Amino acid sequence: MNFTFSDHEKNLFQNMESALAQEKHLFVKGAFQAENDIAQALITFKQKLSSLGYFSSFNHSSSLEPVATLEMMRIFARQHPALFLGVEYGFRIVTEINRMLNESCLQSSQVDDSLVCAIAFCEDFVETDTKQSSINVQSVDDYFLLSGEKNVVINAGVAKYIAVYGHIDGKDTLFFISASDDSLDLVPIENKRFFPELAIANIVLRNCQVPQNMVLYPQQLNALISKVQYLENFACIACALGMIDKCIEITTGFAKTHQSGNKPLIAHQAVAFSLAETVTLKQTAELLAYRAAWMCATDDSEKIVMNQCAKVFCSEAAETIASQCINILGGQVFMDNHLVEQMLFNAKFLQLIGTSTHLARIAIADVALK
Amino acid sequence: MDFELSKTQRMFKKEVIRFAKKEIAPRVQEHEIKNEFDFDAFKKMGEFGLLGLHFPEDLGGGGADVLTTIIAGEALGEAGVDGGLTLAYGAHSFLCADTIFCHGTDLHRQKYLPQLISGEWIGCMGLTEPDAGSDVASMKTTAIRDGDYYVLNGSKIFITNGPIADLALVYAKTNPEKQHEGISTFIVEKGTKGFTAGAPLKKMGMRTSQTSELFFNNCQIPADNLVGQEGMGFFYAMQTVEWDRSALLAPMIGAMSYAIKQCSDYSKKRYQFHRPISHFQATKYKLANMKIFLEAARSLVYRIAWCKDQGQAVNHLEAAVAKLFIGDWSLNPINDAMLIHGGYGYCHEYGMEMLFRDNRLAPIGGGTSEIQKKIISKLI
Repeated sequence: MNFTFSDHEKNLFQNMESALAQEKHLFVKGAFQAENDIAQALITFKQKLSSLGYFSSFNHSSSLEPVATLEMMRIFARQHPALFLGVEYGFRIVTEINRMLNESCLQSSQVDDSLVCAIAFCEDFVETDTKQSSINVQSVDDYFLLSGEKNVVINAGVAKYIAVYGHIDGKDTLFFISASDDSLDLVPIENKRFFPELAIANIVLRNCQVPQNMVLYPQQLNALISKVQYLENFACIACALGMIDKCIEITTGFAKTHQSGNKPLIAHQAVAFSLAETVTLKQTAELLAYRAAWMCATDDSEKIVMNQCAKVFCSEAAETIASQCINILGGQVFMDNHLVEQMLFNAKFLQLIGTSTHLARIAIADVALK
Repeated sequence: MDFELSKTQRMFKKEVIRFAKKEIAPRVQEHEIKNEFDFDAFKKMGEFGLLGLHFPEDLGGGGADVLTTIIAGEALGEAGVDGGLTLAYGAHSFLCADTIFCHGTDLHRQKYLPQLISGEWIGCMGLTEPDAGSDVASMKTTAIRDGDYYVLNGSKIFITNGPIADLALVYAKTNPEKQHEGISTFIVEKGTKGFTAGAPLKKMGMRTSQTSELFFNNCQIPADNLVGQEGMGFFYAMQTVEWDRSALLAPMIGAMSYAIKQCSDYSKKRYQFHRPISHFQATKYKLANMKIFLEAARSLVYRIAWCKDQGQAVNHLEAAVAKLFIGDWSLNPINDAMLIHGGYGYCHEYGMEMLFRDNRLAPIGGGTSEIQKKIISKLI
């Protein structure tokens, strides 16, 4: 066993902090006027972080240990959880799909990993059964016509291409559709309370033409979906850890400097104990997440379960911590879109995406029942 | 980072589980219902090498590292050994024998450790007093030097193994004017004049472990029975915290594994509404929560053990986090284990109510959850 990071990894984390610090103007409120600005920021981070090995695969052959990759993700999420998720969904997950499929048609198409992408599995605001799809597909000559809706598509507003899941003759299929296609409508989610800078939208397809070379027939869609959910879960885990760090940092700082009854808030036992609980949850979440990440590079049969355990624990810990921090921070949280208030909404969203905490619990129990 | 147990550790864990399932677990219920300590099981643990696993081989120990020692504790819980016996084991091996090993003289080690390691003698640690629990420095028991002797007066309470111990490691004030710096540590053998143990206390859980008061009435012990230096007792006691936060917690982790297995087996056999209750999502949720707790807690305990193996000074924040998490967050999943068993869970036969009662000590013993929160909040 070894519970420490190597010097090389620690250097990498410092480099990561430095790289992010160079772009700190993107982390301030109001940095983005339009979704185009967000797209540009995602590409900037993609370029900047690639050289640090940020997009290392969570598998055996990667040059970087998965735990170190997770820690780098957490550092990014601490600075800006929405941009972090945008980068994860826009690049890492799509890149992994490409690696997994190794399909020549995609490589010959215009879709490559320098473009922001989005994945559209979910329908009717639920992602509980991705194998079901109501997308209507018609085969016409050398293209397909698609009609239907997909919901809560992360990066939809900034993606160049959207991978839409559907069926052809009962076969699982992924259609890569240009986001600028006139027959694809983006329906922004109005007044969403979570991840304001994450370009989430619903999409409506109206007889959208997709040429043959933009269609993939994954032989093992279950494996593909599992892989996507596995990576989504790690993105959620890292995002939750980053948000937890930030919440505790803000709240501890406030509790040490804000006075009540002629002494700092932290000198009051109720506040101090509440903070102690948040730190306990943070350290526990962190270790569980590290162990789940470490398992990625092993052949351990429990690695999926550990991924799900960490996803549930970290995303729920983030909600609990944000809630406790709000109690300490008091009324100020409800003014001016306070970061910690935002974290509370974000944490709830993290419980839903990837493997939802409900489904994850069922899956965890199914393994325990074997 | 690397979270892998070595092949030897994995094999050893299996071996301990096999031993405990055969030699201890079958008698747990019988002893528990009678509130009796299982002397035979304790002796067998000594013969198997568990009681002195981490001590050097020349003293009769196993020479194991801390992590392996922790894994053995986890294995006992996983095999279905009750919390009472594992608590007795913890108090004996880690709170008593280890302090003698770390701070005693060569003579102390040679004289006492082989007997403690073999299980021939049982040890206990006397620290808590009626008016000095978390606030150790306010202890009233005194040890006043009188020529070649110390004379002890006072009493201790909630002492695990108290009524059955052959040897007590007692903390007393050699300088009552001082707070922490006035506390020293002594070996007091059973039968010493002026030293008596009270009757076993009736407890909610951990019933096979025998707990009592210790009384010292002009109890005269040789000055050579001082362990380490005068005035260092508090610091020695604090060093046992590393064990409190790892070895004594490990069986609780194992007990959660045991509970998951029991719940899984039971819920597959128990039919309601024409199907096994394992098919109901409410049951699955409970099982999942138990599993999530187990995995989260396990990493915390292993981390403390690993740090100790590296010779790192105990990180009080990490140790307190482990204790607080296992103490407070274990209550719901262990409650769930009982609920899955329904009415049977409330009955002794199925063992779940015993797990529930035993687990209630987790936020109290070895430093209450409130004290852990105090430590954590001071360090952040």
